[in-house]
Amino acid sequence: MEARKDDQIRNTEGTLGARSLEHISSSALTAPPRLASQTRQPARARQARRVANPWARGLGWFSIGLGAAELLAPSELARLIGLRDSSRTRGVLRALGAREVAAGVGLLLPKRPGRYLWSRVAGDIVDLALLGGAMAFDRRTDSDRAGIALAAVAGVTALDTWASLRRQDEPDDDSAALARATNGKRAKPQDPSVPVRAVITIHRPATEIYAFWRDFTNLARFMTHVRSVEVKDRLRSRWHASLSGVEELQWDAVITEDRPDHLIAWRSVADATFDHVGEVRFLPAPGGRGTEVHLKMNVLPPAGKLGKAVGKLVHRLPEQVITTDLRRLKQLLETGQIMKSDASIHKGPHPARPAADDEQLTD
Amino acid sequence: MKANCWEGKKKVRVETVPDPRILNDGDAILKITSTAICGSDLHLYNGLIPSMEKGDVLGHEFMGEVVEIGRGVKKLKVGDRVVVPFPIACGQCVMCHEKLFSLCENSNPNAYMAEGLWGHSPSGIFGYSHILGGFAGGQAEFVRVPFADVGPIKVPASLRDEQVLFLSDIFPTGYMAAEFCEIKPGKVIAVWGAGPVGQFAIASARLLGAERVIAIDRFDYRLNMARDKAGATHVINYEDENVHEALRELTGGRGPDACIDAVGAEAHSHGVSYAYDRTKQALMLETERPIALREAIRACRNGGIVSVVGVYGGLIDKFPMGSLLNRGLTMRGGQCHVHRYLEPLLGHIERGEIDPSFVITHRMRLDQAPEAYEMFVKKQDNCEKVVLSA
Repeated sequence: MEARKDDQIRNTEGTLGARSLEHISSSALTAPPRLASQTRQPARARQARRVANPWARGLGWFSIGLGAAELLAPSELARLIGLRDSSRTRGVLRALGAREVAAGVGLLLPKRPGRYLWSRVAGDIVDLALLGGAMAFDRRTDSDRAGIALAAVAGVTALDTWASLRRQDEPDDDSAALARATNGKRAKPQDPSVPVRAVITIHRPATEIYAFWRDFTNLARFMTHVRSVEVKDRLRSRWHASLSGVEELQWDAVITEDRPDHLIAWRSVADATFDHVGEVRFLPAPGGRGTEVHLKMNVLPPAGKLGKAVGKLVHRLPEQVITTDLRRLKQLLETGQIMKSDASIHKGPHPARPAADDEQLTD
Repeated sequence: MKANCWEGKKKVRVETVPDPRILNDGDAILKITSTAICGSDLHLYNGLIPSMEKGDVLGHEFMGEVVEIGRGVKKLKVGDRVVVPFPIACGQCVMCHEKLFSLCENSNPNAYMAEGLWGHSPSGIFGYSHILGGFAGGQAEFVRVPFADVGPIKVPASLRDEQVLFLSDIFPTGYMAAEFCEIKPGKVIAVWGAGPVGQFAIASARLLGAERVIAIDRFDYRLNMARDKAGATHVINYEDENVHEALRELTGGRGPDACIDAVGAEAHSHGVSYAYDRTKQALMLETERPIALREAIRACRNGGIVSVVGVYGGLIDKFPMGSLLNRGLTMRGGQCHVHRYLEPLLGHIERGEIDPSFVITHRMRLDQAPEAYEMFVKKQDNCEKVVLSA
C-alpha cells in the first residue's frame, strides 16, 4: 500500500513537471486561480505582524544587551560562563558581541526582522559550538558554569527558531512570499513557473468529491477569489476572478486529463492572464477515513503590460491560501457550510464581536 | 447588547456592541442567563495568549435561552434552555466521530494561524483569541452558537443555572483530567492547583473511586474548599511545605499514581525556579512558567500518569524529559472534549451526587466584569469562581 502510494505521488510530480515546461509557453489556462487570495492576504499578514512584533523586539533588545556585555566586559562574562579568561577568549567574545549588537539593531529596524531572527539562530549555533568545544577540549573550562551557559543558549536557540518560524507567516516582501509559496525553493531560471501545492483529507468518498470538483461552477463556492466559472463544453471553461483593488481577471481553461474519481488536470489556454497548469488528485485515505485531495499547480508569472501587476500577485500566491481554500471545500462537503466566525467574515482584521448592520462583509 | 471586551493587557471593559446574528444555517442565538469567568480567561487578561484583538468579546462558559435558530437547526427550538460547550465542534469530521470534539477539523476559520504556531489546528473556541477562530464569547447578553445541534445540551427546569453552568467547561475539564488518570480503587492522585478546575478534578477523582486525593495550592481558602467541599483527603500548601517531600511522606515514598496539572502557564512558586521562569518570561525567552508541571513530573511514581489540563499556549523551558523517559511516565493533556461528558455529568448532577455550585464565591452583574477580573486575578476576597448574570 505504502509503496503504491509513493509511486502515485512521484508519478504526479513527473507529470506536472513535464507538463509545465511543455504548456507554459503555449499558455492559457484554467484553474482555480488563487489570485483572489490577495485581498485577504495583506490584511491577515498585518494581523500576524501585530502579534509577532513584540517577540522580535524583545529578542532585539536582548541581543543588544548581551552584545554590549560581550563587547564591554568580556573578562567578567568569560568568568561568569566558566570560560578561561585569555586574550583569545576575550577576542572571540568581542567578535560575538559585535554580531549580537548587529542582529539586535536589525531586529529593531522596521523592515524585515525575519531575516535577522534567522541570523540569531545561526549565531546561536555558533555559540553552542564554541561553548561545547570549550567544554570538551579545554580543561580550564569550569564545566558547571559552562553547562549552565550551554543550557541557556540552547533555550534561546529554541526560542529564536520558534520566533523565526512564526515570522514566516508574514511576508516581508515579494521574495519572502515567493520563497514561501515555493516551499523555500525558488523556481530555477530556466523554468520560471512557480509550483504550488496543498493537500487535505476529506471525510467523503472520492466519487462525491470528484463529482463536486468536476462541475467547475462549484469551485467559486469555496475559492474566495474565483467569482464565477462558465462551463463551455466538455473540456473548456471560462474563469472570472476578482482581485480587489486590481483588475478583474478572466481566462479560459481546458481539461488535459480526466480520470473519473481519480484525477482532473487542466491548463490555461493561450494568452491567459493567469498562465498555469494544475491537477487535483483524489486518493483513498488510510483506514477508510475518507479521501486525500492533492492539489498541485505550476503558475507562470506573465510578462507584458498587465504582467507586472499580475506577476506580483502570483508571486504572493501562498500555499497557505490554497490550503485554506481546500479547508473550505472540506467544510462544505463535510458540514454543508463554510464555517464563519465573527472575525472571519471581514476582509481585514476585525475584533471577535458581532458585525454592525452597515459593515461590509466578505461573501 | 452589552458585552465584556478585551481592551489590552489587564484591561477589560463592558461595551455596547451589535447583537449577534445567524451566520451559518446551523447557528442558534442565545440570550445568556449566566456566564462565568474562567481561570483561562486570566491568561488572556494577562496577555499570555497571542492573537487577541482590541475589542474581542470574552467568555467561553455560558448558558441561556435559545431566541433564534438557523434554517438548518433540527433539534433545538426557540425557548430551549441550554448549556454550551466551550469548544466548537461540527459533529461530522473524523475527529468528531472519534469524540475528540476539541480537535474538530472544521470549526476554526483561522486554522492556518494555529498551524503556524502549533503544527496543526484544534477546534475553534468561543471568546478565546483569533488563533482559535475569532468567535465572540459569552460574557455578553447574547451569543451566536455555531453547530447548535451538536454542542448545546438542554437542561431540566428543576436544576438552577448555578448547578449546570459549569458543564460548559470546568466540570468536564476536571473530570477529563481525572479520567486520564485511569483511576481504580486504591489509587492516590495529586492535584496541582485548587482553582475551579482543580476542585472538579479532585471531586471527579473521588467520584471515580480514588482512595487518596491530595490538593496542592498556596491559598488556604482554596485548600479548605478542596478538603471540605471537593473531597480532598490531604492538602499541601506549598508556601509552608516542600511539595516533593510532603508527597513522598503521604505516599510511603513512592509518589502519587497520577498527577494532575490544573495550573497551566502562570504557575507561582517561591525561590530560584520562580525567579528563573519569571525572568525568562519577561525577556520573552519562554512563554510559560511550567513550575507546577515540572514538579508534577518529578513527583509522579514510576510508571505513573501526568495529566495536564492547565492551559499552555507556547513553549516551555527545562522540561524534565529525562525523568519522564527513565521512569516510564505517561503524559496526557488536552482541551476538554466537553461534548462527550455532558450527558453523564448532567446525570451525576440530577442524581444529586455532586452540586457543582460549591465553587462559586461571587455572584455579580455582567457590567461588573472589570472588577470581577481584577478581584479574580489578585485572589482578593477569597475569590474562587465568579458567576455573572446579564
